[in-house]
Amino acid sequence: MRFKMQYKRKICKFCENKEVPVDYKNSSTLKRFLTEEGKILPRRITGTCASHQRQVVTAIKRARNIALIAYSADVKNV
Amino acid sequence: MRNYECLFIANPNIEGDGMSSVVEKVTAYVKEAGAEVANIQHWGKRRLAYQIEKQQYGNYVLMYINGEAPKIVDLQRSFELDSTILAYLTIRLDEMPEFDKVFIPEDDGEEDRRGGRSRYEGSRGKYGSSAPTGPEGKAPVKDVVLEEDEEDDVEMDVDVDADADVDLVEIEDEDESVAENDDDTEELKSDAKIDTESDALDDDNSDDDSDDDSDDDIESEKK
Ligand SMILES: [Zn+2]
Repeated sequence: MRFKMQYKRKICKFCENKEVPVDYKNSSTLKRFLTEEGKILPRRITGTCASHQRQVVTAIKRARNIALIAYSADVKNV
Repeated sequence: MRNYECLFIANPNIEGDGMSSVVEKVTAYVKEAGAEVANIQHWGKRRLAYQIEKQQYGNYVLMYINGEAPKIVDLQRSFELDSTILAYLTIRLDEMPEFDKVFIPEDDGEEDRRGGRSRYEGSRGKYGSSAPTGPEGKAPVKDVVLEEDEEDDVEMDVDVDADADVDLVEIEDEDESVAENDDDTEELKSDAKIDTESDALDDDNSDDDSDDDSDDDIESEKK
């Protein structure tokens, strides 16, 4: 059972739903691509395709810059 | 002319006219930079993801600007010099969006709940992250799977967000059940009280008194 799950191909969220643009303002969507600490999750975990992952990365960095997303979880609680 | 999107954060503790004066000032900056404001949108006061200049909240304003690249640098400099502006972000766009349909993120009320959820997620996520550490890491992972049953399968199958929802539901269920149990026990207790109270009120007092007395007596006898 778990073997099946491990090899199941993940589909890129943004390819799946093309109406949602990769936008730094959409912080709630971008948070799905972050770890608890606020690190960017790798493509192999989220299943994002290469081109969309590049867009996600720039969007996350922009959102961090303008304080929509924290750089790290610790900073937020200080 | 090129299209720019500019999002800036103004200090929320501005005296006087407040945001309208700030917006006037910024539009003046834009004009000085030889550009024009195509559209302006106020997001209002929002919680910042991290403190900027010791502020936890900020007034977000989104502007769409038509301008020339060398002049936009001047605009950025005037943002930099203005102490009421905590942060700014200017981005070149290929096309102007439809201003009505521009995405405005949810307000910060969501923020705290999400933080709590992600913390819970993280504690589970660490099991997951220990999984691909090679052959040695497999044994403990199996144990985890046994403990958590089908939940782990869900974690493998569904992406992070869906998993978070599942977790949320579980938490809510637990809370509710606990709450219900509490209510039941309270009811039981109250019933018991009603039964005993009428009989026992006077008796209890008298018993206590008598016990105390007897103790005292014993002590006094010992003395
Ligand atoms: Zn994609």
